[in-house]
Amino acid sequence: MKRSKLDRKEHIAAFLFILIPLIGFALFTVGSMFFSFMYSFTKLNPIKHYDPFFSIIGDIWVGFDKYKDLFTHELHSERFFRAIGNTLVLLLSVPLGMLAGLLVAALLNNRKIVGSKIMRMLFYLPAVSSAVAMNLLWRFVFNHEYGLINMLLHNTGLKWLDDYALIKTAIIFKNVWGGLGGTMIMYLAGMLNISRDYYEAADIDGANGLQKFFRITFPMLTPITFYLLIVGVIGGLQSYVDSDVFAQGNVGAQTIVYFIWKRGIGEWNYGLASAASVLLSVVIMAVTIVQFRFSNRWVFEE
Amino acid sequence: MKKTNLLTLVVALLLTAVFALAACGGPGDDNPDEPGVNPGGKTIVQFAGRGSADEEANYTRFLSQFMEENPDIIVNPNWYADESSYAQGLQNAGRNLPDVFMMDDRDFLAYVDANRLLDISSYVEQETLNTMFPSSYEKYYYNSDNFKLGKSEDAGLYGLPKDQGPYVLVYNKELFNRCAQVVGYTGGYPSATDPMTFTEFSELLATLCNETTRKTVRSDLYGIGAYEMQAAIYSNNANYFDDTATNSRITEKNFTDALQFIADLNLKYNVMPAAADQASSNGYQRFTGGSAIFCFAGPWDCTAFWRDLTFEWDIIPVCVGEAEGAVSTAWVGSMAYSVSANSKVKAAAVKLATYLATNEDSQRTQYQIGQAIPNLIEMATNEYINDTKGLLSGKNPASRSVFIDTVDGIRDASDKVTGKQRAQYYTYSSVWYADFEEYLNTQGLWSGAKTAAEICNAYNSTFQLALDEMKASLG
Repeated sequence: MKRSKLDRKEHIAAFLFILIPLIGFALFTVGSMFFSFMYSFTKLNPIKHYDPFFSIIGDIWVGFDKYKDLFTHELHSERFFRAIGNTLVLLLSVPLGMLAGLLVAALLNNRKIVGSKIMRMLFYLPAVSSAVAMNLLWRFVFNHEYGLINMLLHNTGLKWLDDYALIKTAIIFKNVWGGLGGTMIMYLAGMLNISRDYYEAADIDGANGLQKFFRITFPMLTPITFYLLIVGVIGGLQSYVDSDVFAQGNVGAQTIVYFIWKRGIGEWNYGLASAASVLLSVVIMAVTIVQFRFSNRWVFEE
Repeated sequence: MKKTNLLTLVVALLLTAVFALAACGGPGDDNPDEPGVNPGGKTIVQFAGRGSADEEANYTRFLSQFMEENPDIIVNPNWYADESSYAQGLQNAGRNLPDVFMMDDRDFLAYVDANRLLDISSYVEQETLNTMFPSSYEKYYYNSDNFKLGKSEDAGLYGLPKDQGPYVLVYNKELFNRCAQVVGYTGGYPSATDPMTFTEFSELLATLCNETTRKTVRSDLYGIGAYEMQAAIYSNNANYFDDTATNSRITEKNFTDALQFIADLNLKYNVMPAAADQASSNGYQRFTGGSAIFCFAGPWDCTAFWRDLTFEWDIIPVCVGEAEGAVSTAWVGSMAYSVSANSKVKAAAVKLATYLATNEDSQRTQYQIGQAIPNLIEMATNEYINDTKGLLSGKNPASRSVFIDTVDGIRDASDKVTGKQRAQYYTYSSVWYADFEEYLNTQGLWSGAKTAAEICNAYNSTFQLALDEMKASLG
């Protein structure tokens, strides 16, 4: 069917409105990804190689050397593997955070609980607070000499900020807390969207609260669970503030992005940092594709 | 409907235009016929610096004074509060480095080796340089033919000093007295001219900080919160590498003895927190919180100390090791005012850099606000030390001469104190230093799991590789 003149004008107007973000996306996302990909095949050092990139690319091209360095170079490989291990362990905060968010949402969705609206607001507060400020605050909480956690544990002397395993535990705990508000709100919104008809039918069939939760609420929330999982894993793989602000470079908490930052910005080794960035992007894309691929097996769609 | 669509289109186009124009330049833009000169015929100098809001306010004043004295020049400042953002801004500036900018001495070698900085030796009179401590500007010479840092034949001058920061020992006089009283120590305050040896220092701290004083003075008392690695290494006649920064020296006895001295402050003498406790509160926090008698401090710490500390304090030289030929040597950090090699207004840019480095008012303000010691010899050795202008009346430290002695260095046999650039100044990049520290931490030097000699021997080949790679980056 041929579009009317008015229709075409409306489309042009709409396109112009999204033009600015589109240009931004092309320049700052696609463009950055492209250059990062190209840099990963070079020994680019921004201080030394400051001429336009494509005019010097032949001089600084090293092929796959930087990728090889990530896995074999004495100065980098151990740190890279350690960063991968740390990042994977810290991803535990994603499922734990989702579980905690779901439980809190389920509790606060119960209108019989007094003050549930205030509780919702309180739980959501961390989501609107500065990440850096929160991390600094948590450093005080986990301080083993005068922190709240050790005080509550009757001064067991656990050195949260120094020990390589304990600092991961602290970060997971902190991230579960920090993500609780956002997760809770998403689940609450999902719960409010579930049609009452299902619950009324279940009541007629004599289902109890738990049965209703696991047979109706939980399955109906799987699209939200899926969304939170995707976003959480992507965010977790890109974690940086935990390493730098909370752990202040503690070896036990150095993540892949921290590695990229340290080698790229600190050592001007843009090639190595870009190679690690490209691999990280590939992993994120692969994990996301796999999640989408298998989502039809467990995500409920009405 | 038609009108609405047209209106929508116009609004969308206007928004696009506004965003596009917002990215364009300001009123001081160049005249396209004459780069670096505005249509009014004034030379425009771009200046970039970093520091606190207080420093920014001071620089605004210095730059205004400069423009008043040089009405044909306009300075466009770009100020960064954050060190990391500033460093990144320079890294990614491409050919568009600011005309004059502050250059961290730890990054100097990389920038000068890449021909990013202007050789200003032909612009600056020797007479002007003579007014400053040689140690403050000679470090900014470089010979690109043989990659040699420092003043030498055929070397060019690529920066003028913003400041010099000797990092020396500071102590809480009141806490010192209280501890001394409890243990009956009558030796008095440590000397500001005769540095203590490693052993003397360890034993003094063990005397002042022990079970008795922890019971009576403070339960969280420490002699010192942390000891500076470079101060210990330099002061034990050791170094990380040789003079060309190409060969590792970390397995030498003087080097490992210096590291062991630091470890033993905790392991043997129990006067310094364990590494885990240092992660909880660092040396600076313990000192300012009044639980550590000693700490390290530079001239820039005076601002915060004057504002926050409620106790009397003073400074002394860093301790000297027992190794043969050892001299008390503090590390000295610095920034330079460098001029971009691509600057289109070189003469005006050098004029500004020289003004900022040598202007008396600027130098006076820096010491008055507790930010830096003067670069100017005359001002430092008389006006600053003796406070002839009365600008430091009643302010600590009383022994300001320690800062000056450190940067002045060894001139004759009576001098016992000197300073040396940070180790990262001598190398192409700085990551090796963080990597080395990280290795010491993970291998258990501070917990006593291994000795300094064992750890350094195990790390030596990796350390040498890092040096080799940095050497290969030159040229």
